[in-house]
Order: sequence, then C-alpha cells, then structure tokens
Amino acid sequence: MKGRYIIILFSCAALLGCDKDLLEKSPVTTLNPTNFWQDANEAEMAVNALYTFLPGIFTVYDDNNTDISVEPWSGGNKIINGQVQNTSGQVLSWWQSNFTAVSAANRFIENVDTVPAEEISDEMLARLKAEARFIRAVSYTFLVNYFGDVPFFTHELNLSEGSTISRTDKQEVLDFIEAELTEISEILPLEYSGDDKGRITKGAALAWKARAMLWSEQYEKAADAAKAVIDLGIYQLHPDYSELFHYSGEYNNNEVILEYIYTDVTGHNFMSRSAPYGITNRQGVGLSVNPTANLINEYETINGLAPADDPAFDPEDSYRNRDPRLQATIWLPLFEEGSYADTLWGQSEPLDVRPGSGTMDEVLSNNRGNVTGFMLKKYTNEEDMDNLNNSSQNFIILRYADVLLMYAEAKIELGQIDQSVVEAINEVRARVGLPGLEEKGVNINDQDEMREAVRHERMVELAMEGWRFYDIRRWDIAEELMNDGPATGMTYRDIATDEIMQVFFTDVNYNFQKMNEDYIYPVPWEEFNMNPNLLPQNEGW
Amino acid sequence: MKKNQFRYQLLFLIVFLTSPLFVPAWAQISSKVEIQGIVTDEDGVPIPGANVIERGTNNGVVTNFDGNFEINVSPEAVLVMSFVGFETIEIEVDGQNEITVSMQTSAAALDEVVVVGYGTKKKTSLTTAVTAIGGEDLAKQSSTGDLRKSLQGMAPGLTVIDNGGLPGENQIQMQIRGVSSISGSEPLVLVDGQVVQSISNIDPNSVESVSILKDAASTAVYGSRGSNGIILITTKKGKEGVLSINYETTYGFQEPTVLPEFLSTEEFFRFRNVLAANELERNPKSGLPTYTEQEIQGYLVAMEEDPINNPAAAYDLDDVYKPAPQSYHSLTVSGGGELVQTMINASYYQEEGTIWERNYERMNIRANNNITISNALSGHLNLFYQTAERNSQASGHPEFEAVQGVHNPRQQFALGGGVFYDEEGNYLPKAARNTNPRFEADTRYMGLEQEKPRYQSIDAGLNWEPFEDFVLSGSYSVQHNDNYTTANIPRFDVGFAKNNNNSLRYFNQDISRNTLNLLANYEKSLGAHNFSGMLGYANEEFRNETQNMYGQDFFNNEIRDISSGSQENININNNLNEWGLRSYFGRVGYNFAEKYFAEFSLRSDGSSRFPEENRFSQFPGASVAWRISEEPFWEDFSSIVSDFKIRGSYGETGSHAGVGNYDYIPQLGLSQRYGFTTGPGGEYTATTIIQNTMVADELSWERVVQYDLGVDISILRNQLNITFDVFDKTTEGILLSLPVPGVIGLNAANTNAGRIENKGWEFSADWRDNIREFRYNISAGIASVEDRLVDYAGLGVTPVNSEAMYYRWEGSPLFAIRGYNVVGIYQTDAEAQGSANIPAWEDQIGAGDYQYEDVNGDGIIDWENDAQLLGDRTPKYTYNLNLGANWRGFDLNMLWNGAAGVQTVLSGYLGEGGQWNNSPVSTYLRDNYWSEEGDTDVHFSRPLYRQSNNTEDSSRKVHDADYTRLKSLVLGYSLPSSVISRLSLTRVRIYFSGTNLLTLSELTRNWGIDPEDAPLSGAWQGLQGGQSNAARHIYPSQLKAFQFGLNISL
Repeated sequence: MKGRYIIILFSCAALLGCDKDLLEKSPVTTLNPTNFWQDANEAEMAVNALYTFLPGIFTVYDDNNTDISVEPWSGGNKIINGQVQNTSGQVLSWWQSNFTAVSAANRFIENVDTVPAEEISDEMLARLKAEARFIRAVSYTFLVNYFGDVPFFTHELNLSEGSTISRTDKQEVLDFIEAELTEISEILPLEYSGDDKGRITKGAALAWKARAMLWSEQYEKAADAAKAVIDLGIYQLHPDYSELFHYSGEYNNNEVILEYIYTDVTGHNFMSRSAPYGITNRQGVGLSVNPTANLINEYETINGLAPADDPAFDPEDSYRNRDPRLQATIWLPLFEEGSYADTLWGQSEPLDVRPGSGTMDEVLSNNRGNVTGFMLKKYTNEEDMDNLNNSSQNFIILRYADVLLMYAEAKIELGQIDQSVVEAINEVRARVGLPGLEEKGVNINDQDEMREAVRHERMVELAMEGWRFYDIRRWDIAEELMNDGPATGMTYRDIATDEIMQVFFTDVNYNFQKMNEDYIYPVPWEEFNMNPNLLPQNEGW
Repeated sequence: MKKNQFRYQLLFLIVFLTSPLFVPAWAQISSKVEIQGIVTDEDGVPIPGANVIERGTNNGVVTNFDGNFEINVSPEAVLVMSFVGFETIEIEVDGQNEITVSMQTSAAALDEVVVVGYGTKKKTSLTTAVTAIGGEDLAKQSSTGDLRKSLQGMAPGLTVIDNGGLPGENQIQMQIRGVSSISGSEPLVLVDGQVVQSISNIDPNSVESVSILKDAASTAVYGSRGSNGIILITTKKGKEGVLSINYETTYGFQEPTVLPEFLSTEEFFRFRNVLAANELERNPKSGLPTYTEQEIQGYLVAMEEDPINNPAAAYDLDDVYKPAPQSYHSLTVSGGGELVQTMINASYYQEEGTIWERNYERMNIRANNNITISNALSGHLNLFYQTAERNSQASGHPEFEAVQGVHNPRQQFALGGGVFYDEEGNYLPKAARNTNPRFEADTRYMGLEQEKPRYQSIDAGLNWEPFEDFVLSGSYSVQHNDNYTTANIPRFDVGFAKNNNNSLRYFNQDISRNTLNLLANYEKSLGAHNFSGMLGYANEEFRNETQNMYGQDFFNNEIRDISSGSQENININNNLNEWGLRSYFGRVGYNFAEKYFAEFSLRSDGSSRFPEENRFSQFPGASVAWRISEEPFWEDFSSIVSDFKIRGSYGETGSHAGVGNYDYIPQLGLSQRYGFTTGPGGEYTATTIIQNTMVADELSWERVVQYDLGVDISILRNQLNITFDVFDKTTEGILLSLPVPGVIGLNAANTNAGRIENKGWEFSADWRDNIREFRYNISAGIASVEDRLVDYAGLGVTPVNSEAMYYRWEGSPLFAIRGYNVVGIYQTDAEAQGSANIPAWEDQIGAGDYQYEDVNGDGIIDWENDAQLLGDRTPKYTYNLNLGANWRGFDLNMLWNGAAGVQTVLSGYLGEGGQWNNSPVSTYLRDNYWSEEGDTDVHFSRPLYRQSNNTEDSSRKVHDADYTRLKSLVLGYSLPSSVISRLSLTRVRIYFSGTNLLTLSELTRNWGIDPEDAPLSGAWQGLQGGQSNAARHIYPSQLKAFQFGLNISL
C-alpha cells in the first residue's frame, strides 16, 4: 500500500523536473536581431543609433590639446606636455571610438537590405544608407587625421579578418571619403520637414567634405566643396554670434549646418565640468577646461587691431572694447577694482578670482580647477544653473562661418586670392562689428598676410569649439606654439601687494611632440599587439 | 512560476507555524531506579559532555563538567555511553545504583563519517581529497557573524578573502586550491544537499559539519559546477531521546585592525619645504609655498588657540572610524520522539559599522524536522527563514574624504584637517572639497540606502528503503530570496555645500531557485567484497527578476512618490534572467576487505545557457586507494602506525561561472539616445537600436582536469593524524573576453580559449593528547598553490580589470603585478642624465630619482620592453596553526594563520612618496626618502610635486604582504556542576573571544595597512584618486573584535 503512494510521489516529482522549458530560456527583456529589421521604422531606429557617433559637446575639450586652453588636472595635458605614447589612453580611444562607428555603419548598411522591399521605399532606403555613409566618412576623416594609413573596409568584419587586416594608404581612404560624400550629397535632401529636422543634409555632406579635404591639405577640392555649400544659398551667418551657443539660438538660425542634438533625456553634464563655481554653486564636478591667456590676447580690439597695436587699449582694463566674441566665449575676470569684469549669472558682484579674493572661483585655490583664471561661457546656459548634469545644449559640428573660413583658407593656400576670399573673411568679421581686412590694414594681395589673417580669424571665431587641434597641425605650427614653459593665465593686480601679477599653471610644461611630418599619432600598442599586420608603427613613435 | 511564489510563501508560513505540532512530547521520563555515575577516560580523567542513554528509549542525559551523571531508568536497563573520539560502551544496570565507566579512546576515530557528494562515507574509505570540519571545531573559534569568515584558516587549501568590512557586506570570496578561472573561482556551496543562494546567513551554531571537497574525483559528481571545489554544509538535526536547549550570546566591539598614520602638522610643513625645493629644481616656475621655522612655530601656536581657522594637516583617522558594537543571540532546541525529531535554531545578529550611520541586523530561524514513518520510510522537512536590514549612506564617501583634499599644496597654510565641527556644532568643510568625512557619513545630507533582504527555503524529502541496502530518496526544495533596496538623496543647503536635486531609487529583486534531487543508493557486501552504487537525477531552475525605479526633483525630501518628480528624469527598467540545469549522474564503488578501493562516477549536465547542439556535456571521475596498513606485512608497524592509506584520483569538472544566460543569442540594445526636432521648441528623443556585443555562439563550459595523489596516516592509536596531498589541475578553454581588435567595433564576447595550470600541495597534521586533566590538541596545516596562465590565446599583456599595475600575459600568475624594476636611486644629476630613462621625463630627471632597469639594454626605458613581473597577489603559501586546551573548567583555543610569498601594490597617496595631489603624508615616508647624495638604501625617491619619473608604476610600489596573525583567541570557563546543577543546567560557560588581535606583517608595521586588505581587495588603492565611486567606498575589511560570550545548556 504504502509503496504505491511512494511510487506515485516519485513519479510526480520526476514529472515536475522534466518540464519542457527547463533548458529553453530566452531573453525576454532584450531585443533580438532575428525578429528585427521588419520595416522602415525599425531601420530608422537603427540609423538613429549611428548619430550618437557624431562628435558631441565634449569635442570642445579637444582645444585642451592646443595652446588656447588646458585641463586643470594632473595626468591631463599629455598632448601639450609631450607625454603621448603608443599606450596612451587617448590614442586608443581615438582608434576604438572611430572604428566602432565605422563598423556600426557597415553593419547597418549590410543589414538594412534585409528589410522587406514592400516595407521600405527605395528613396527611404537610399537616404538611410546615405546617413550611415556620412557617419562612416566622418569617422574615417578622423582616423586618417590621427593615424595616417589605417585599416579600410566597408563591410562587417569577422574576428579573423579583424585580426589580420592591414593598413590602406591614407590617400586611398581620403579618395573614398571624397567620393562617398560627393555621392551622398546627391542623395541627401537639402532640408528635412516634419520631425526629421536635425538629420544629415546635402549641405552637411558638402561641408564635411570641405573639412576633410582641408585637413588633408587638398585645397582645390576643399575650396570647391566649400563653394558648393555657399552656392546652396540656404545658409547665412546668424546675426547674434553669442546666441548660437545657447538654447535661444537652437533651430532658429540659418548658420548651423549640422549639430549634435541633445534632449532632456539624453542630456550631458558639460556645464557641470565647465562653468564657474559661482554659477554652479559648488555643485559642479570640477573644471575640465581653462582657456589660457594665449587665446584671450588673440582677440582684437573693437577697432580691428591687435591689442598691442591699438593705442586705445589699456592693459590694466583689457577686456573693454574688444572683439565681442571674447565676451561670448569666456567669463572675463577682474583685473583690479573698477576694471571691467563679467558678472556671473545670479551674482551681483563682478567676477573676482584673484588670489586672496576669497570667492568660490579663486584662481589656483582649490582642487576643482580654475588654474588660469579664465572659464568657459560658450555652450553653457543660465537656464541650466539648477540642472547641471542634464543639459540639452546642442553642439554645432558644422556651421556656415566655418565654411566661409575654410573656403578662404583653401583659396589662399592655392594662391587664388580674389575678392570672394576677402568677402568671406569680412563677412565673418562684419557679423561681430569688426572692420574688414583692408580697413584693418591687411595687404590682401600678400599670401602670407592673408594666411595670417584667416588663421587669426579661425582661432577666435571657432575658439573653444574643439577644431583648433586639427588646424595647428595642418598649419605646421603646433610645435612652435607649444615648446616651452607653463601655461599662462590672467593678469591681475595683487590684492595684498598691489603689484601686477600673472597666473602660471606649471603642471603644463609645453613640449608638443612633432614626431613626423604629418603630425600623426602612433597606432595603439594594444591594436598591433592583436594584429601584427598593422605594423610598421608610424614614423617617430 | 511567478504566480506560485505567493503560494510558496503561504505554504511556508503554515508549515512553519505548525511544525512544533509535529513534535510529540519528547523525553518522557519514567522514574524507576536512580543511578549516579561517572564517565572517565582510560586514565581516569572525567569526560564532560558524554551521552548516556537508556537503550531503546528516549531517555538520556549528558555528563556534567566533572563527568558525573544522574539518570532514572528501569532496573533491567542497558545504558549506552558515547562520546566523540571514544568507543561507545554499553553497560547493564543490573540493579546497580552507582556506575563508574572508563571509556577507551576509539581505535577508529576513523570510523567518523564524512559527508561527500550525494552521500556519506567512512573516513577510512575515502579515496578522494576531502577535509571535514566538525561544528564543534567551528564553535571553538571566535564569533564572526559569518560562516565563511569562520572557515578561514580551518582547512588547508581553502582560502577565504574578505573584501567586506562593511556591516553585513557580502564581499567575501572563497577559493579552493587557488584561482582556476578568470571568470570566478567561488566553490559551489550546498546546505543539506541543496545549492544555496547565499551562505553568509547560516548561523554557525546550527552547523553540524562542513565538508570541503577539493579534488576532481570528489567533485565530478557535481559536473559542470564542480571545478572550483565544493563545500557541503550539514545542519544539525534533532536526535531521538535527547532534549537539549542551548543558548549562546556574545557582545563585543570591533574596530579596524590598523590605520595609517600621518605626519604631524609641524612635520608636514617641513616636508612641504623639501618638496618645494625639489620641485623648484625641476621646474623654476613651480612657485610652491615654503615655510620658515618661525612661520611653522607661529602656525602651531595659532592651531593650538584656534584649530578651526588653523586646521591640522590631516585628520586623525581614529576620529573617522569608531569602535562598533556587535551582539549576537542564538537559541538551539533539539530533541524528538519516535515519530518526529526536530532541531530549531533561532538567532539574531546585529552590528554597527566602524563608520557612522552604517549598521546591519538579521534574524534567522531554521527548523529541521525528521519524520520516521516506519522502519523503511522516513522523511524530512527543513525550513529556513531570514530577514535582515542593512543601512548605509546613499551617497558620500567618508573613508575617501578622510584622506583626500585636506590641503591645498599651492597655497601657504591652506590646510583643512583635524576638525569636523565649528563652535555651534555645524559641519566645517575641509580646505577645498566643501565637505568633511563626518559630513559624508551623515545620512541627513548623503541620504540613506536601506537594503532589506529576505530569504526563505523549504526542503522536503522522503527516504524509502524497499528492501535492505537499497534506498530511494527524493527531495524538492524551493528557495526564495527577495531584496528590497531604497536609496534617497535629499535636497539640502548647508552653505558650503548644497544639493538641488533630491532623488529616490527603488530596487526590487526576486530570486527563486527550485531544485529537485532523486537518488537511488545500493550497498551490498558479499564476504570481503563490498559494492556500492548510486544513480541520480537532478534539475535546478533559477530565476532572477529585478525592477528599478528612479526619480528626482520632488517638492520636498519626505515625499516618496516617484511619479511626482520631474517627468523627464523618471527612469524605470526591469530585467528577467533565467537558467535551468538538468543532470544525470551515477557512481559505483568497490572495495575488497576495506583494503583496496576503487570508485568511478559520471555526470551529464545540460544547461539552458548553451544552444541545443552543444547543450550537454559529460564529466567523469575515478579514484583508487590502498590501505597498506591492512596488509598482513604491516602488522609489525601497526602499534605505531595504525593506519596508512595511499590514494590517487582523476576527474573532470566544469565551471558554471562566466557563461552568460543568453550569450549565444544575439541581442540588440534599445534605448533613447539621440534627438531630432520639428523646429524651435520641437526637440524630441528618438529611439535608437544597436548591437553592442559580439555573439558567443560556440561557447561551452570551462573544463578542469585534476589529478590528486594523497596519503592519510594515523599514528599512535590515532593521536596523530597526517594528511598530505599533491595536485595538478588544468583548466582548459577558460572563458576569456579576448580583447577584440578595434576594427570589429563591438564589445568582446567570451570565448573558450587559453589554459590555466594550478599546481600545489597540502599538508595537515593534528595531535591530540592529555597530561592528566590537561587535554590539548594541536593541528597545523600548510598549503601551497601556484597558478599560471600557460596559454593566453595569443594575447599580449592585458590589464586586469582596471586595477593599477595588475596585468596578465602568457606564463604569468593570474594576479600578476607588472612594472618597471627600480635598480636604485640616482645619487647625482650626472649619473641620472647619463643613464637610460623614460623619454617623457628625460630633461627633468636628476639626483634622487629612480633608476629603472633597462631590460633590453636599448638605452631607453619603455613599457613594452622594460616592464616586468614584479609580484603576485595570490599567496604562494598559506598556513594555519590551531592550539586547543582544556584544564578543569578552563578552555583555550587559538588559531594562527598566515600567508607567505604574496605581494601587493600601494599606489596613490601612500605609495607614491607623498607628492601626489593633496593627501596626507604617511609617517613611513618621512623617514624613507632620498634627501642627499649617499642615501642609497632609502625606499623613496626625492619628493616631487605631482607626476614625475618617480610616479611611474615600478617595483617601489610593490610590497611583500606576508603575514602571520592571531586570527582567533578564545578563553572560556565552564562553571562547576556543583554550582549549576542546582539550576538544572548542564552547562554554563563564559568566554572571551578575540579576532585579529595580533598581526605580524611588514605592511602593518610600516604603513598601517592590514595585509589581508591590501593584496586581495586593493582596498586602500581606491584612495589614490578615487577613480570611481565604487573605489571610494573602501573600507578596512579586516576588523579586530573583542567579545564576551555566555553559553547556557540545559
């Protein structure tokens, strides 16, 4: 009797144990590609992810790799201090982040064809692919700029291909970039409607082509591409330079060609890492950027003259009557009582960061940063004072002023200086009320003077937008700009001694490494360790 | 399964509440003849605690401290006396009123039964490497509140690494025979045959025994989960007849074993002078402040008068940490009648943290019921319930802030240490960081994180013996664990610091684990031939469901409604993870006359973590043993060497860790990560979908092959027992996240590649003896293990996680330290300039800087060619020594343990010579830096400010972490029976227990760092720059504890 119950019990238990799906488990809380790629909507979601590979707001900190700003932290400033090695994190990150974008774009381009034809129009398919191709071209532009010859591929690599691929001549990659951007500029729309605004346009493709060609010193192609953007006729300078870099300027100007769009949901903490404590009320996480006196001194007076050349310039009240772009870019600190200084948002007293001032942003006083006395205003917003870690301020990747200056530079380098070149530069200057080049006294027929003029203009117009690192290497001047001594900060009258003093940031000891003619960096050690076919290493490293 | 959870809980509650009803009136005592007696050993020394039972009844007592007992029995009764280590004796009462019994030391303490995988074995019949620890041995160690900590130093080959230290922290890892995998080396732990979610909660008082299965032949029967060894815990069960009640309580304090010491303010200023002078030499524009002797003395006077405005150069860490009280209560009741035998254990444990506002408490109840239905049929119903609460700061890093940013190196006198409060008791910020360590611990500002784990399990089973020697058994267990965590960060403004956004986080986790085990066992002896066989089936299903909710910007700090916060910041996510495992296994054994043994086992495991094609895998194990001492020719030695056994084993096992639940299924990440717009004011967030990780579609188990050769020797009637094992363990196809070439553009997936070899040996010996009434035992163990990554799948040198200086490469230990080797300190500038150096520092290098070894002699120091192996943080040797003694009512137990051949890295503010940043300077540095030509044997280079040649990762940051420590010291006194018998008590014992009372280590002596903290957890390394929040939550994981305890039995 008892035995039978036991047998029944055991068999029940066994049945319980043999339930079918014990060994069949699937991830119910994540998506699976086998049930994806169903329609145009899903294809668009996949292309949307590629936009996150565009250069974002933290591109601004690339200016820390140049003479115009520094990172206030130990361990930073490796590039300007000449401490880059093939094991440097920066080098690896350039390599990885750009190849991640390239391969994600390749994967998209290969997989999007699996969307059933009846679910997506040819036009839509071509447009989405063009968006992906743009992002791939952008990433390759960075790669050849940093590394010269790089692995070049346009399909999804498997592991063994990825471990054996060798490097392709830089020019071949550049030719591909040029061809792609030309081709997709024919596919992409001039403008988007509805809720597609902010996507990559024809203008963006052409403008990036101008940038890629200029960076690689292919001036004729650069000039042509820039000219093509100008000739589209839809872009013009926004009258208010300052507004471009704040919420008030978003989407209501004709200057922006392409920007990285942030929203409430995808916000960034740029302001927390860039704005003065006086604004963030000590809630910032620490500065990641401090502009140097090199930048501040470059801004002309409102008369269009270098400060030293302008008799009206008062070195003891030096921020008055300057190129308005200075004030739009930097928080200007007090020299002495009564001199001009900005007043921070929400404050009533002028910004005084002099040693002994006792203010929150006192220079060199705390381990939050502020090592030069100059802090960033561009790309921060008064509206975000209580929302430091979730700013939706967009970052402009391409704007018309840049295109005008690219055009001018390319033409100057080609020796084709004509009125259109002068006009391009003057247009940028006129927007902020500065006199034209002739009025400034530039001999517009002298290539050297024009070269100086356009370089100056790029430096101040695009200051703290992250592009100078590419400019000064292309111009072969990085090692001259940064060859000795500490970074320079503000000049001030000392509170205690009444003497005129200047701030020096001695963690920086300028020693820019020009290891080869092309200013290219080493292939990361980790990478050629995995793939010896990437050898030989770039010259000098 | 989800809908069943409530039902399980309900069922559990009902069964729990009614379980005492199953217990019949136990210990029905019928008074007939009163017998008084005494039990002694062969030398006439009384044996306290021996069992005296009337045969065939429930009637029994235990001898008191003097060996005396009193019992009422029927006149014709037979008394059975038993005690561990002695032969059981039966004596007929036969009308006597007084009985004196002399018990003989057991010829076979080896008759002891040891729990092994899916069964038990006599110790003499073991053919594999198994270490058994009795519950009574654990009870002799100091109370730790965590069974895993109690196991440390108890078994050679078992290493316990405590990274915790936080109250109730679960960061404790165990390793058996070293590190055999990169993915994790935790042994599988089973309690009463069930794989458990966590053993941190087991009350050590409820443990009957612990078996540690070390070689693969013993673990192969657990197949894919046996590769890291197995720990089998058996809890106490009720015994028929003997009602026992035991209450134990302890109360005590714990505090960090040791804390770093820093320079006094006066010394600090002088040190900064040295630093400034050195820095000026390197960089003429450095402009660091210096101090005249007058200024220094002036500051010291001012500091004396007004420490708030003239703070010290460092906090006294004794003000940051505090002695933390700890208390423990445990009540065990056990006994039973013929039908039901029950053991109920209830315990409560509470501890404060050594940092303010952290604490932990938990309550456990375990009820083990055995039910005897008939001679052939029995069952069990084991119930466990636990509830706990752990509180800590939701943000804030008190330990980090204690040593970070206390001065501003660029400004004169800008110090901020020493004081926490102003005159009114308000928090005072230190120099520049707008916070202080006490403020960081204050949950009014940092918020409270509260975690409430609950754990419950039911394990029910039946044993049926349909005919002799054949037993069928089946059990089903349901374990359920829910974790409820909340964290709030308030909005506040205290002037120097404020937080505008308050936030709330809720985290809910539901884990269930259901296990079914079916076993058939058969044993048969035909003459000298003994056969045994076992067949089994098991399945296990695991499910982990989590929900996470986050919101911020509530209109006040009290509101607890996520939906009332700012809508765009609400974040909700949930996750479900499941796996299942189905196993078939069997074992056959044969021995001839208990002389020659052979055993073979096989297990087949199928896991849901693999695609159908390669789901199942087989794991064999085999072992043989020869008891030479049973051979006729041994007879001459047997009076000295009573037992001598040689055994050898081979086995294959797998590892379950590291394989993701769905790795073979490609997955796409869906998120909201980019925006577009319809125009001004029309910005919106779009959905983005992308693949982030490679697919691992050819993944399989890591496979371990292990050989073991051992001897077991017993000498002098088993007074001395010796065990020695050598092993060779190879892990094939270790799961490596092979760095993927950047061009692939996806995160790496795990692949089976590479090979690890572990080789080592273990030795243990224990000796028991007495000198009259003085009984003592000594046991010692030493284990050696060396792990090598013999095949690294062609990878080069790769960093281990992101820990400073830890790397792996082919041929390296698994936790290898790599860097430049310092061959000396340059004594002159000329010497420095003329040598091979790191190019980046070349033009600033001078006298007092480190000279690195130019391994390849190419005239420059570079990482690729000149970095080398500098150390290994896995100890080469671990050892323990246990001393126990009893005399009259006193008992003493000491456990010493230690490690040798182990190195650690000290980087950051402690290890880099004081120049780093703005942290305090260690007193060790003060006496050990280069200051002038001829200082050749100092440890540190000349102090410089921030990065320099000398902050590179080098051998000067690597330190020996060898240690020997008094892990546990217990001194107890049991009250004499004359006192306690009036209270009807059988035992009253008071004791003092101490944990980590003494530590002998260079690290402790020089640096104020606990040697077990440093090499294994990297605890203090987090201080170097506080890279991540996790790293800032460092805590001295090793604590020194003083406790007083009371133990009452009746």
